[in-house]
Amino acid sequence: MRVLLLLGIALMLVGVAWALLAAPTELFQGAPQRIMYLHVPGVVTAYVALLAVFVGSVLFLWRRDPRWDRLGRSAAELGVLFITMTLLSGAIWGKAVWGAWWTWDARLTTTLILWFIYIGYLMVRAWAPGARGARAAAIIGIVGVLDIPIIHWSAILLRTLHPQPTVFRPEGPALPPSMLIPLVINMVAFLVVFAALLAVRVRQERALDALAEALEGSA
Amino acid sequence: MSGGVPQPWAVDVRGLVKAFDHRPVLRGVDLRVGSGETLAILGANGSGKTTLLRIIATLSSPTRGSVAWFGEPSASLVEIRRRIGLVPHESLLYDTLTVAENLRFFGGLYDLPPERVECALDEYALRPLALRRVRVLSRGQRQQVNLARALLHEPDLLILDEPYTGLDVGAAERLTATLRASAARGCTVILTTHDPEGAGALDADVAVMLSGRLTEIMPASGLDAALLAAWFREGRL
Amino acid sequence: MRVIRLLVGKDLRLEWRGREIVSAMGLLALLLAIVLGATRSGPEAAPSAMWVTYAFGATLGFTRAFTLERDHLTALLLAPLDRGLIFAAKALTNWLGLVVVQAISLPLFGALFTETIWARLPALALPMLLGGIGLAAVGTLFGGLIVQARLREALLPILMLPVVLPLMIAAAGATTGILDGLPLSAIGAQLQLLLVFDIIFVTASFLLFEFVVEE
Repeated sequence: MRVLLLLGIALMLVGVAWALLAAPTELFQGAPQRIMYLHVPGVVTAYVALLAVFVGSVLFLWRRDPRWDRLGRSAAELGVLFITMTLLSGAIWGKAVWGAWWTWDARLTTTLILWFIYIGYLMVRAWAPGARGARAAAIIGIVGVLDIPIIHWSAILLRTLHPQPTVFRPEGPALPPSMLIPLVINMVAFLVVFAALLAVRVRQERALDALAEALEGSA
Repeated sequence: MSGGVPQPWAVDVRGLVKAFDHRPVLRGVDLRVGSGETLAILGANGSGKTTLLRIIATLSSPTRGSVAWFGEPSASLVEIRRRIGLVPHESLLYDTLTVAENLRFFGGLYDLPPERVECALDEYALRPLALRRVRVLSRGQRQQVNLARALLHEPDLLILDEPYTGLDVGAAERLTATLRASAARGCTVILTTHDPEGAGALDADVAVMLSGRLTEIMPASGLDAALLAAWFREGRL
Repeated sequence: MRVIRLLVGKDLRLEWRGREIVSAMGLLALLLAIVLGATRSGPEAAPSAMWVTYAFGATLGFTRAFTLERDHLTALLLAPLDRGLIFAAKALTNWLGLVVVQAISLPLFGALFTETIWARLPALALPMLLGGIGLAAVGTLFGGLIVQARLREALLPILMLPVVLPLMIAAAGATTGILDGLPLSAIGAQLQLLLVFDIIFVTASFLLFEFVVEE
């Protein structure tokens, strides 16, 4: 796990440096376009985190094994973190390029709503710590992910201003290799850091649970 | 011994552990109650009596260990619930409805014919109260209605949590009579109480719950009254 | 089926005796309609005002409904019933309460915002119905969740509103189209979304409710 953390940090350093310094400047947007190297990996990692919450929640409800609950709540914390990062980077990027801090565009709106849903998850855990809130939070974790496609659909119904996807297009990425490579490096870096942080967090929770059990059990 | 089929236990609890948030309330309870027996569980507040009863009533699930009812480990919970009646500490009646409306509702929940409710009103001497809203009843009367509610579907297992609390002598006697009548019909009765003497009136066996564990079952006559009194004084009960 | 009728009948009778839930929901709805109408009235403001009102009325009503049921849930859990039926009955009761609130607030919306509401009422019923079902399903699930985990009632809107936001967007969009005189085909996407939302969340809530009530 320490290896994972070190690897992630190393990749991050390489990736960010490359993104900020070595990658070519984009023609139309200029320097602000470099935010993409943080924004896109951030959003992908956030959704990976939410998926982890979903898996943890489903398995926790099914198997009642607290191990899955630990996964769920650790992933939710990281998920909210990365969502926040995505929203902030998206807003900054938007302001720099289009002059507006916020546009009601489909993807950003979806991400914003998810932020609220998973903040709700964390609030439930804060106000009902331990087993009492575990099941309630698990349900939220499941409902949240089920809602993602619908939220996105409704956000599209609202408006669409997001730049046409340059990476995740069916025909394949439209980025030149000089930009694609640092993006992929950052993507991997983010995911590795996420995995490392998740492992740390889960280990922490496991230790806390064991401590609580030892203390209470001897009472 | 003849080669007869052994009678299944009405309730078979093994190694029951229940913890709330790592705090153990039941620390390994073993209990076997035979069909038709009456068992009184004594214990102080917080000793885990209510938790144990709720698990036996299928309302709560064990953290570890197992519970089997009527010797049928593979029966579905729905089938088991049909054969269990519970009178918990809180009243389960709807205050703004009348006694008759309450019983008719619960009768419907258990899919009972309406005549059964009419029968019950007479059987439990509730006819004069039938049209009164539950809100205006006394504690003893409410207890009586709750008892009728729990026995409406003629369960094989009746569970009561501190049923004698707050009852006057008359109400307590009525309760004892009803419980004995049920037991005579073959119903297994499990109740918790603070009062060792009440157990004697019911001709019940007794077990004591001490910090999450249950002692062996003893017949009421075998109770060492002095020991119990000492435990009460020491605060262990 | 018989069980659902029994449970809903009991809820309706209880509500008739007490009239707490509907009066609280109804009063809030009327107040919201007036407050929203005072700040900005006119046909364009109607759809959002209506749906904001329904959403907040729903959260208030559903929380009250579950807190009232709190102790009695034990009796229902004891009975030989499929847990899903308890959910179905509760959701149905909640939905009926919402329908009543939608109905009684309609005159106020008509008076304060636009008379077109009356002219287009049959078409309007469609998003109102579909939206109401979705609100009831999610609200019942989360309401039960809040009672079960003994959370503060104030959490229900925080938890519920983000989840039903897509439903509100679609419903308000459909309402806007209808009030503008568009044919139903023009708001097909919105109606589809409402339908899909309902299907997904009624099913999910039905299945997840079991985990809400277990101990």
